[in-house]
Parts: sequence; structure tokens; C-alpha cells
Amino acid sequence: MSDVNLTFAEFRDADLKAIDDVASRSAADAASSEVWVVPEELRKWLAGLRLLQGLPFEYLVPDSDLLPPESIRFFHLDRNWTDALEQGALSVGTVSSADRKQLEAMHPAIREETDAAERQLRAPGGEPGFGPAGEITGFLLRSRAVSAYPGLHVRAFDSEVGDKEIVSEDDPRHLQLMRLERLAPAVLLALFDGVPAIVHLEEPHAGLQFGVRLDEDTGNEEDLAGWVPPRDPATASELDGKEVAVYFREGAPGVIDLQQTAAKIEEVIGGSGGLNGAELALQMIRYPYRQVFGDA
Amino acid sequence: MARSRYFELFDSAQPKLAAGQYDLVGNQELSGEDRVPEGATAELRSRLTVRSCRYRLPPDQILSVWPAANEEGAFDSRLPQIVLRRRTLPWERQPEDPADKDTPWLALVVIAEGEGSISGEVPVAECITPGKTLAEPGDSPTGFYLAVTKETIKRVFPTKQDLRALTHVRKVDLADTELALGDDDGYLAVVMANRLPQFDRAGQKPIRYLACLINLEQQIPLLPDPPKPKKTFKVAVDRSMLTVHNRAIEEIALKAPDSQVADMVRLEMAAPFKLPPPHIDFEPPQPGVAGGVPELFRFPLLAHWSFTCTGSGNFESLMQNLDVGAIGAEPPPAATPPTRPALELDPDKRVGLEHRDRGGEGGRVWFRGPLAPAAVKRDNTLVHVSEKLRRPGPEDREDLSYAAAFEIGRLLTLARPSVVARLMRWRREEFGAESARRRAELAVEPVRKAELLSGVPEPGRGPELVIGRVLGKALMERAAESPREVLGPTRPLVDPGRPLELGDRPLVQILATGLDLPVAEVRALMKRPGLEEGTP
Repeated sequence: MSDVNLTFAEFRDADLKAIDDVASRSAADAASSEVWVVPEELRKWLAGLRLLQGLPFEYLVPDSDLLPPESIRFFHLDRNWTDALEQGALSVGTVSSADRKQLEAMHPAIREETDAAERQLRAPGGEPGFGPAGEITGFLLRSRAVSAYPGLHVRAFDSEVGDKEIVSEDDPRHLQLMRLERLAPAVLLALFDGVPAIVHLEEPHAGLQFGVRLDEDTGNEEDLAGWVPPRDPATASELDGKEVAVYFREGAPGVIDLQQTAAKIEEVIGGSGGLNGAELALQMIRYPYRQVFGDA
Repeated sequence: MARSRYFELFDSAQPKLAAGQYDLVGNQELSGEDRVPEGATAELRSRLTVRSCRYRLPPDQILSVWPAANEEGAFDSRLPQIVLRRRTLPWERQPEDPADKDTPWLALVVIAEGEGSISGEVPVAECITPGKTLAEPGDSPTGFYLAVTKETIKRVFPTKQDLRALTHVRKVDLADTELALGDDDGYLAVVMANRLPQFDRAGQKPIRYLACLINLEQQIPLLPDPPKPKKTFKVAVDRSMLTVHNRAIEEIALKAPDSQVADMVRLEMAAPFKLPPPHIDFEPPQPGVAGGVPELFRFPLLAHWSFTCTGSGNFESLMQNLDVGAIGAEPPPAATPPTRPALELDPDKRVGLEHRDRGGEGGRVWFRGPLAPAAVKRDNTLVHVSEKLRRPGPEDREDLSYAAAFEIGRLLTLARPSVVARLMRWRREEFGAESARRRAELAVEPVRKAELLSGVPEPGRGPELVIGRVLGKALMERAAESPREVLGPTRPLVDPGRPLELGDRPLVQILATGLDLPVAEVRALMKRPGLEEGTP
């Protein structure tokens, strides 16, 4: 120190200031650039492995009878299995027994960080993950619905939700989706952060749609029938338990005989003179279907 | 504005004036006590044109179509539709009778591939069935048309009565982006099709459909009569509807009367060419003649898009028929007799699998993937080789679940050179040991500082953790204030010299001992000039 004539009081103040600087710098350090034991690239790789990314499908479903066509299978993620997967990956980095000792010493910190990274993987802006890794659950869905309805909505809730309730995206009952991916054209994998009480599978939304309900049960394999649930024109709500058959035209598959269908609807809801555009549209509105899975 | 989350439906939105040309006649009448001279006012005659689209739909008028263009999916229980921005658009022309303002001039027809064809760009006069003309000029010099046979019209096109039912106006909340679709006033016109696009269930093949928004002006009489209603429809595709241009050549060759085969095949082959192939002259057979080319009717095409119906069964029925269970649940009984041994499952839903170990020994083992039917307690031990994860399983067979997980984790990682490289670098960093130390320091730094300033340990930290720092600090302060008392007297900068004690040994011996050399050698060195033996 050049200033040898510093008094003790001055020295102490300078000292305290230095401590102050270090403390504030380290606080800023901790806030902005966190210090990680596991480098980011490895953290992402390990977290991805834990969420089963890139895992050959036979490891998930070793026998096709475990996931027959048109089925949904719910599961808990076996943490010991994913830990073993992760440790296999880490073993690539150990060469000598000294490395292994060192890795063992670091393992609690490594596990803690990959636990947090799991949650971060799907965060759009890379928001920091939080808390220790909890239970992960999910389902595998193998169905034509997966291929025919790309973009179907999957939501999980940790407590009861009304079957027709419209739940906003930031509702606290939502469980975070950790992964939602089509593993094959007709196989969908979903992973949830927690154990859901209710799972909704909802048809993709695409504005307002019109249509009928098709009925394959016509007594003839080659034939299809259809019906609509009639709606009260005054309240626009469905008349409970009523079905009106939809009439079709001969010769071209799927062409609806609107006049006849409208006349039949009118017989049920009352009125005369035919349905106009708005009235028919009201009868034909189809809302996205929501399938609810829960403890029955 | 419509209420949020609500929409309203209206039958139609008719403009005050339909599109067309009008004479505007203006007359003034003067009145007063004085006589108004003859010819003081002149009649105003003017021509007024109300424009609307006729052959082409401006792209900004289309707010949305469903199913989306080129989309694939199971659409078989929904009606295709197009949403138009201007609410009056479907009623801006009268397709047949100017007095009938309720019948829209637009229809959305959905045809399967082959049931009709779309033209190239042609002058608008050619866009309508030959023999019909649309009087006043259109919105565009050229346009496209949809060409279909009478049979297709009869089977697919809406009836005149259907047109009104298929078109409506919707009022939506502009804030609801899903429904408002970027509209400006919240009123949208919707044109629906009358056909549910089907999947070829018999052949299990996707069917490509074309949705066409067509102009029906002057051609309403072509539309079919109300058909005989049926409660069901056949799902099989009726190939008889396909037009000549899409019929397979073989089919033509087989079916056409002998006298016309050559002509018809040539015509079919020439169809894809814009200009007739050179050196081939032929008269096309008369349209409408039995066995000849079916007569084609043309409709101006305002917009079109295609989509593919790739599946059957709507979402609801698919969902309700799902087999629901936890992983490892028994599969539903198969319709056909099984062709292989049944799945072997242990109570924990491990699967029995054939296994061959590294020594070539065969046998059956247990395996379960990462998906378990119930929660599994995490045990948190670290292993370095997969052998340590082999577990005994039921029936004296090994459970290789975790060992296999370890191995696949290792192999997946080895397959990624960049990850391997990073792992090796991380190994040189002792697996982040330095970062861990730094992080541990950062974690206690603020606490330390507070304790240092106050001399009081932070809550949650026992005094024994800070006593050293506090004592040290106090000692430092005391030492700096009065060093003599705390640390003792200061050491002088220079110590006085100390006499060498040589005793009475001869110098040569002292040197030889000190340098660890033989005495004789030292003596020899000392015999050099200037050095005399025996003199200290």
C-alpha cells in the first residue's frame, strides 16, 4: 500500500468498503450469471435424458401389448431408471478411479442442478427452474386421434376442475407440461410435473365449426348415419336427451340433405317455414370436444 | 359490439343496392308565387355502378377457411366453411331473380379429387357454361372456373333451397381473436358446404378434397332438385362420378364404344396440354352424346383450396373408445387369435424378455422401462458401471431394468461427440469442483459481511460459526492500534555482525569441511600464487 500514513480509522473504513464491494458484487454475480457446477450444455443434455429425449421407443414400451392400438396408458416416471440413465451418461466422463471419487464428491451438487434443469427445459425463455425435482407422471396415447388431430390440447390439473369449465392458462391448478411430443405419427407422449387429479384432452380449437355427430352403428358396415343434438333457438342450449337424425343425399358420400334435416329439426324445436341460415347454423355448431380423465 | 365470449348469428345482411348498373335520375321542382319559367330546371341523368367481386375474391376478403388449406386430418363429421370479411358479400348479387334478395349467389361446394376439375386462367367469358353470359363487365378480365358433370352437380351441389341455409352472418367480439380472425367491424359472413368430407373406409385410403367457392349467377336452374332423403349414406367412393379428364385411360378404353375409343383416349391424353399436340388433328366427340364425353358445366371460381381427409372417426368417438389404464394393464382381448406368446408380466409390471449376455449365454430376464405403474422411491446412489445395477428378480431371473438404462444412457451420450468432448473438458475441471467452491462462497458472502459489521451472527447461524471471524477482527483492531502491546517489541531492521568462531583448526581443514572436499584438494588449490598455506 502506497499510503503508509493511513490512520487506523481510515484503514478500517477502506476495509469495510472493500468488504461491501465484494458482497454487492457477489450478490450481483449470483443474480445475473449463476455459477453452475454442471456446464449448461451438459445440464441440458442430462435433463433431456431424464425426460427420455432420444430414448429408443423399445425402452419405453418393450412390448407392443403394453400399448395396444387405440389405448392410453398413464404412468409414473421411475426416477431410479432415469437416474441410472443419467449415470450412464456421466460414466462417459470418468476414466480413472480418481475421476470416480471426484464425481462421487460432486454428485449431490450435480443431481441438484439437473433436477432444476428438468423444469427449465420447456421454459420458453430459459427461466430458472426451481425446487427439487418432484414426481413426474404422464401418459402415452396411441390412437388415430393423434395423427388425425395434430395440435390437440393436453392439460393436467392437480385438483378437481369442472368438466365444462373454461380454465385460463395461468390457473394455479395447472400442472406444468414437461414434455408433449409425438413419438410416432399416432403415438403421443406427455410428461407432467406432478401427479394430476384430472387430465383433459381437447380437440384442437379452430374457430367456430359446424357439423353433425356420425353414427357407425347402422346395421350395415358400409353405411354411416348422423344426428345432431337440437338446440333451443331462444337460449341456444342443447335440449337434453334429444337427437335429430340428419338426412343424406344418395350417391355422394357425406352430402347432407339440408331441407329434410331442417324440417326434422323444426319438428323438435317448433316453428315453421324452414330454417334460415342463422337457425340452421345454430343447430349445427360443434364445439371442440373435451375428454376428461380422472379418478372414477 | 357483441359481448365477450358470445356471438350472434343473423340470417343475412343485405346491401341497400345489389351490385350492378343503375340509372340515377335527378329532378328538381321549383314552386313559388311567381310563375316558374319553363325549362328552368334540367333533369340530371347519370349512371351509377355498384361494384362487387364476381370472378375473383380479393384475398383480404377471406378471413379463414376450415379445414385449413392443405391440412390433413379426420374431418368427417364437420362441414367445411369459409369466413368472409364483408358481411354483405353473399347477398350483393341476385343469382336468378332480382326480386329474390334472400338467395345468396355464392356456394361452397366440396368435391373429391376427380369429381371435377379446375381450369387454367382464361378470359372471364369462358368461365361460365357455354351459352350463358353474365351481362355487365366483371371485376377482372380473366378468371378460373370449375368444370363438373351433370352427375356431380346432381349428387354434390346444394339445392336452391339449401343456399340460404348454408349462408349466415356472425357477429363476434373483436377482442376474441379466435373468433374475430382480424375482422374490422365484428360482422362476418360465413358460407358452409353441404358435404361432410369422408375418408375411404373400405380402402383405408385418404381422400383429397377440393373446396370451391363458386358463383351461381344465371346457373341456379342447373342446381339439383330436392333429392329423395335417406337416413344413411354409403361410405364407399362412387367412381362413376369421376369426370373424363380424371378417369384412368384404361377405364375409358374399356368402357367407350368401339367407334370412339381412339378419339376418347387421344382426347384424354391431350387434356393436360395447353395446346393440342402437333400433328394430331381430331374432332372431339360431340358433348352430351351417349358414350361420348359427358357435358361439362362451368362455374366461375372465386376461391378454392384443398385438404385431405386422412382418417375416420371423430375425436369424440375415438376418445370414448380408448382403452384406458396404467402402464402394464392387460391389453384388450384381440379380435384375431394371437400369433405369438402372450405378454409375460411380473407383479411390478416388468416384462419377461429373451436375453443373451456378453458371454453368449441365453435366458429370460425381467425388464421395465422408465414408465412405472406406481410411484417409485428414489434411492439416489451413484454407480459407475451397469453391473452394479443388475438386480435379482422373481423366478430366479435377473432384473436388468436399471442396468439397461445405464447402458443406453452411456450409448446415447457416446453417440454425441460434442457432449463427449464437453464431458472430458468437465472432467479436467474436476466435475465443477471449482464452481462448487465459488458457489459456496457466494452463498455465505452476504451473511459473512453482515456478521462482520455487527459482530452478531445472522439468525440461524450459531455463534461458534462466527466467533473466529469476530475474534480475529478484534485482534486485528487491537494490534493495529497498539502493536507494541499486542505483538511485542519490533525487531530491529539490521542485526549487528556476529564473530566467526574458527577454533584452533587450520584454515585448510575448515574450508575442506565447509566445502565438503578432500583436504588435499583444498591444499592444492591454496598453493596457487597469492595464497600461502598456514596463514589465516
